[in-house]
Amino acid sequence: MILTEISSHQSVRVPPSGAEGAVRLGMKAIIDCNSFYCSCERVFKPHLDDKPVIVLSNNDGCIISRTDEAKNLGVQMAGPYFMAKPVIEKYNVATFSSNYNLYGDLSWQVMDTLRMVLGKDNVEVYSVDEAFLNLDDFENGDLFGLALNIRETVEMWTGIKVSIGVAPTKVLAKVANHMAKKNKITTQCVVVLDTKQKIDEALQSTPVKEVWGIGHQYAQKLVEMFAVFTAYDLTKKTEYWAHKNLGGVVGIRLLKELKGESANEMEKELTVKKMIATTRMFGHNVYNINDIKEAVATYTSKAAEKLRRQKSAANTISVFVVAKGENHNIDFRHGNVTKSRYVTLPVATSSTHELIKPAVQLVDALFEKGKSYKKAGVMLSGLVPDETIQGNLFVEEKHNGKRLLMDMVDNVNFSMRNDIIKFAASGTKRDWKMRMEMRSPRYTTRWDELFSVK
Amino acid sequence: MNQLIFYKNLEIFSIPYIDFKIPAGFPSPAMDYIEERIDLSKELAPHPLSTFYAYCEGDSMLDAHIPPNAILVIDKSIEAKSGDIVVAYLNGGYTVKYIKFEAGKCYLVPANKKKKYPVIEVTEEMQMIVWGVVTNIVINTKNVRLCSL
Repeated sequence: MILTEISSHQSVRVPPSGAEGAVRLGMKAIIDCNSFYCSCERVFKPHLDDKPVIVLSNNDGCIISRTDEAKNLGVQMAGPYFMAKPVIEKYNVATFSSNYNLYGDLSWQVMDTLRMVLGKDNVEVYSVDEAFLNLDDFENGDLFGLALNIRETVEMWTGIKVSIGVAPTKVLAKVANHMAKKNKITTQCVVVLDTKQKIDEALQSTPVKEVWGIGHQYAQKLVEMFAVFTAYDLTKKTEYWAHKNLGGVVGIRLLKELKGESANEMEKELTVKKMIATTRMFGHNVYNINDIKEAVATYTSKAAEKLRRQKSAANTISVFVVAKGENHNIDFRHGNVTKSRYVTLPVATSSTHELIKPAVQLVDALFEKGKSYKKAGVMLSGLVPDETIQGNLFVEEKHNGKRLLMDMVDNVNFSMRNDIIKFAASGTKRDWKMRMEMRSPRYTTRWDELFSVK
Repeated sequence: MNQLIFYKNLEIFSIPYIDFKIPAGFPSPAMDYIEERIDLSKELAPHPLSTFYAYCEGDSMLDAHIPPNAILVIDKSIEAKSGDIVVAYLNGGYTVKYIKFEAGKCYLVPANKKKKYPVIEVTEEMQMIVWGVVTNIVINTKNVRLCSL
């Protein structure tokens, strides 16, 4: 299906027939997996393809992914699981505990498929289930056909269903994607906004609260104070106005993008993280300081593992614990108290035992006897490349031997995949381990969890 | 099965490395013959982005060289042709069979002369899905040992 036939030479752009003002300068696309976590579950359970599916957060607390079918039953996104349980049981909604190993692996598979189809430099991974695509190389082609082809390829190779929005800017591509997701059948999950007319129509039907980057509070303000109801209304404002009322430079950029002028160029993929955090809910409330120390030690070694994988070292470690609030029955969202502390290390390090020690000491400082805790986390920041670690006046330079030891621990853990080598502080029982009652097998990362075929 | 895990990691070490001193002035002719090492995973799964793995349970495809516990290498990107071994999703479960297209009909054909499993004629109501095409079969010899010896 060809929507627009455009013939253009290198610098001369000919508008498509019947449309005024073609805006085919540097088209961008956003590809977004449909209810990604649910889609991952469906890959291995095809009979759920047209059935309601939900995925729960760590600890089976909240609903973090739902399919359209579940949405139509009134299942709320981010709502507590127990509140949705009557509906879930009545309509037999397929329910899964989160299986991040599987989701992470399939995400990699989807992103790599895109890189293979479009070229590495044309894909900017935005989140676990979204990526921006640069379609400059395909400027003269049939963009709808191209996007449809990408969608079908991803679906065929990985089993994951995606929606694609194509437009001259990232913000407009988001608008297009939104339209595709809303009407999956009529749009075939692909919407291309490549003429002024199409863009204007799309913006007129987009409430301002659905524009990428405009939060609920801003949206309310825009509606109430400025009578800006749709994205189209917003494009009638000046940059001066946007600077004043839409958050300064960010607002100007947003306005430019909505008007079809690209202000957010493709970013080079950020492979090296600036901060590494590991946080989990406990399976049940924890009262004992040693249990918390054990958990924090484990999180620290996990975080240190991530740190070494990207060849960084950290000079700041912070630990936080969340105690259960006293009147949690009244307000489950504001009943919890988070306390955190951090230390700055004399020298940046990536070695687990150098990080565990301060982390465990921080727990001593944070823990209050008599309180029950439900969550803890470790954050490593102040990251620097590992090879530039230099000794300072008071601490001697790192020995290379330690680094070698850590690499060995990582390699063994990676191949055995069960944290066989652990630091003693991590304990052996792990009472606080996450509750994951309905987790599906890790089909793609564990030999012993492959699916069976009769 | 642990060997396989280590085997997977082996590719880290499979970079060709020639460890001899190069005499100045006269290049060694051996340098011209350095090749990439044989890498089995590339042969078994040339298309890693669309490749999945599963275990075979049961013996309905024994005569097609698929004993129980064999690992099936499945490529989702290949369109099944008549005569291919496929993993199909049928009645809420996975099955591995030959697929046969004949006179506008589709059949799932087992391969076990002794046990005579039935040929399944696929009808519309069955909602059969060809999940992927089996491209390779990996058999650990432990699973096919001769117990009488």
